[in-house]
Amino acid sequence: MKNKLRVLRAERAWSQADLADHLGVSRQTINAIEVGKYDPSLPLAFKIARLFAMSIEQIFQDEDVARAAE
Amino acid sequence: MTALTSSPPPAGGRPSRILRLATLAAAMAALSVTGAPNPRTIDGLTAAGAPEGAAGLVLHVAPILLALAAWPAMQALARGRSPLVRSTVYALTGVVIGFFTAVCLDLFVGVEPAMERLTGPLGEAGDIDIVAWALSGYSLFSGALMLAIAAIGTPAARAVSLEEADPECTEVRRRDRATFAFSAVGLLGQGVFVGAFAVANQLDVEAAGVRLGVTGAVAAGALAFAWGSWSLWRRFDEMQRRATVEAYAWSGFAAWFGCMIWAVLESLSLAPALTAYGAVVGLVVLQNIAATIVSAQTTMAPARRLVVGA
Repeated sequence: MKNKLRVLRAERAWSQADLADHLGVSRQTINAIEVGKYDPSLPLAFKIARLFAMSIEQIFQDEDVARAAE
Repeated sequence: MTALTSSPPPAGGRPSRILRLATLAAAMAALSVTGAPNPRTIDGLTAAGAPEGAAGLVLHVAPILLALAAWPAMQALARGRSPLVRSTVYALTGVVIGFFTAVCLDLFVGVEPAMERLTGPLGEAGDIDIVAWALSGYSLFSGALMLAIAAIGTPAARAVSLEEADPECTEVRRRDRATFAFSAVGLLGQGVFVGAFAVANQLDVEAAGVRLGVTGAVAAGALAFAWGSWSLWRRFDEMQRRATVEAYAWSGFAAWFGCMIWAVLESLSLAPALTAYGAVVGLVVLQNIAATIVSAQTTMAPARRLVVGA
């Protein structure tokens, strides 16, 4: 799963720890999501989407779909 | 985006390599002063041609030089590798340094008389006892590191970090400190209960008070381990809980498979009977290995993000 979390975080000048505090998770989890080692649960994905006022699909993209689109 | 993932940490954000090596040397020197080489090891060196009088000095100095040489060698070997390979390199280097330190300074020889003053004479350590002692030493050492990070915070985390990474990855916030503190309780508890198990297995005396005391130490250590683990579980988020469950699942599978193989070998009289004590030590070893591997997969940075030896 690809995601834009790092870009969205950078746009707001938030550190990983800042974003982790907003979402109530650990910094390690934010890092793992950003580097694609962990796909968040649906509740956490909704929470992230709400925080950035975007839809889940705008933040997370299925790699197969992204590849097909390219 | 690239800048965020590959830029080196700002100068001055981490202790320099020389400072870290000097700290390591100082810690090893302190260990060397308090340790005592085994006379048999000295005799062996003298028989191999080492000048008499110098053998003892060599045994005091060798672990320090070895550790200082191993640190940059370990970083060079790990550079650019996958998290699994890197964590394996770090673990093996730790085992080699620990082994040579124990051989050169015979730390267990120093521990045993101190223990015997409390418990009375201990019997010869068997294979499982040696594993239990090593596991206990590793747990107590790791627990002490976690305790230092919980007490001191970011500077301690950066000082003991094996890899150069983004400064924010080694930043320890207030919430993180509590997590490190509970990890320390769990690891120290594990060190105590496994070590006390080894003592209980080697007890030669039948005095009820001593046996009760050692059993009490096993129980206290196990309770601290359980409490630390439970407190960590309550604080963990979804990814950390998944990693914990995965680690227990892998160790459970490995234990099931290992027991089956052992049972087959035992029925063929190729392996000794497995005791409950041996099973507990084996389970703790497997659980620690599984937790390290799973944790490396999810929390260690991919190779492209590393700036080792900056």
